[in-house]
Amino acid sequence: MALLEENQSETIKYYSGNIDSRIRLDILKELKSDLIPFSSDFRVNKNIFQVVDETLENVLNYSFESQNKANFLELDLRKLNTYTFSYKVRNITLKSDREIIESKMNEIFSLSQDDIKSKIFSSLQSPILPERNNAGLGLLMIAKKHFGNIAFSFKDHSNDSYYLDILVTIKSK
Amino acid sequence: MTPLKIERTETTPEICLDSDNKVFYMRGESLPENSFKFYAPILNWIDDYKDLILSEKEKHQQEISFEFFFEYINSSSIKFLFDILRKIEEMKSSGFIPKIIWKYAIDDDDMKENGEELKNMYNNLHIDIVEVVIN
Repeated sequence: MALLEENQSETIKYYSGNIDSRIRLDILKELKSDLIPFSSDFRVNKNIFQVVDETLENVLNYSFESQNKANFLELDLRKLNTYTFSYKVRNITLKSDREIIESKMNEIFSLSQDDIKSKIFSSLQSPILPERNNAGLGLLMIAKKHFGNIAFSFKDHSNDSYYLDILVTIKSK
Repeated sequence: MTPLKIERTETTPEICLDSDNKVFYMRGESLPENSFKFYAPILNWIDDYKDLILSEKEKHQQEISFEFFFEYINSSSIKFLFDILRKIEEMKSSGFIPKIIWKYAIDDDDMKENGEELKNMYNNLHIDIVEVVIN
C-alpha cells in the first residue's frame, strides 16, 4: 500500500505520546471537530472515526499496558484527496510477540469477506473477559469495512522491541 | 423492580430499563472508557429482570419492546449488545414476547447494517429495523 507523501497531504490529526483509556477518549473527542474542515459527509467522518477508535482499542488491548510498561502511541491521520484518507497508527511491541502478532494479522488480512463475517460472529459469541473485552474484534470490523486497504509492518525500535505500524487507506467512494 | 436509568454522556448512551412502566431503551453513542464497567450493571439488571419474569410466568404473557437507537457503537460495545440480546431472547421461555426495535438515522448505513446483522444472528427474535428522520 502506498503511503502518503508529505507534500501531497493535509494533516487532520497527529498525536505522539503515551496512551491509556483516558487519552484514547480525549483523542476521539477532539477528532470529531478536527474532521469537520476536511469532510462534511457524516458517513465519511464516522468511517474515519471508527477506524481510529478501533485501532486505539486494539492498541490498548494488545499492547504493553497489560505488562505495566510505558505505552507509546503515534497516530497520523491525513487527507490525501477528496475521496481518500490515510491513517497510520504506531505502537511498540516486544520482539518476542512478533510471531504471534504477525500470524494473527496475516490470518485476518487473508480472509475473504464471508470468512471475516464468520469470524466476527464467533468473536461475538465468545465469553467477555473484563480485561480484554473485544480482543481482535475491532480489527476484524476494520478488515470487513476496509477490505484490501489495510497493511502492517514492523520496524526496529530497541533491542527487545519493534514499532508496529498499522496502515489503513480510507476511501469514501 | 428498581429502574436502571443512566444519563447520556459524550461516550456512553442514555439507558432506561424501567420494568414497572415497560420502557426499555438505549440511545446515543457507545465508546466507553471501560466497556465492561459500563455494561456490567446493565447486564446484571437484565439478568435480574429475566429471573423475575421467569418466576412470575403468568404475569408476563405480553409483548414488550426494547428500543436501541445508536448513532455510533464500537466493537467492544457491540459485544455487550450481543449479550444483552441473548439475554432478551432467553426471556422467551417465560411466555414473554420480546420485540426489538432497532432505530437508525436516515442515511446511516452503518447502523442499518448493524441492525440487519443482529437480525440475522438472532432469527428467533422479532427485530424491526426502523429508519428515523432527524430534524
